[in-house]
Amino acid sequence: MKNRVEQLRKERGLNQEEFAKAIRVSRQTVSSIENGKYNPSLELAFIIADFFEKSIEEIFIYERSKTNEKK
Amino acid sequence: MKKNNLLIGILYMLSGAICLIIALMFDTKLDSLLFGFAGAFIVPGIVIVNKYFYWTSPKNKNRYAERLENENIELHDERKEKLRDKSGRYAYLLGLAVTSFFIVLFSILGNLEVITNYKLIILYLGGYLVFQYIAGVVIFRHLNNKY
Repeated sequence: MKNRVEQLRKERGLNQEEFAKAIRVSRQTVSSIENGKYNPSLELAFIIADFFEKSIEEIFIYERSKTNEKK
Repeated sequence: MKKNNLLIGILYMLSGAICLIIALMFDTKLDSLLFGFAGAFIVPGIVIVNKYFYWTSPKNKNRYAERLENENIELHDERKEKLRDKSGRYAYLLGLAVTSFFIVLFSILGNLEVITNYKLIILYLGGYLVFQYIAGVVIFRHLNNKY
């Protein structure tokens, strides 16, 4: 799943450490989310969306077709 | 830091001191064990008490609050929790595989008369293997019903 977390974080002038503290996760987790290595839970996705004042769909891009192809 | 920590540290030191006094005053077969207990209680006790005084001093108060906050975040970080669960799962599977391997190995060595008393070892390892497997199944069923 792709996401715009890094872009939105940078737009707000935050480094990973500051952003991680704001959403109460480790810096490594922020890094993994931004690199697409880790997909956050629904709860964390909502926390991130609330932080950026956007909807989840505006931040996390679910690649429906790819998943269906795999199935 | 909570005052409880100071109390725990003092209790550790007292327990260690009691073990040390008994070991020094009485000549028993448990002396080495008591000296071991004394060391195992006194040293952590001193560390806990020192930590308490260090972190409760006014100049370290803010640093301690920040440290606690970071520890709390690290502990409840969902990605790390997931990784901890995953590593536990791999350790469990590895444990089952290693135990099974050693059961076979000890059976072979025992039958070739390389080692004696191998039956007891196999019995222990077999029991451990069965326990691990059953515990895994029972815990899974419990969690499956709960969530």
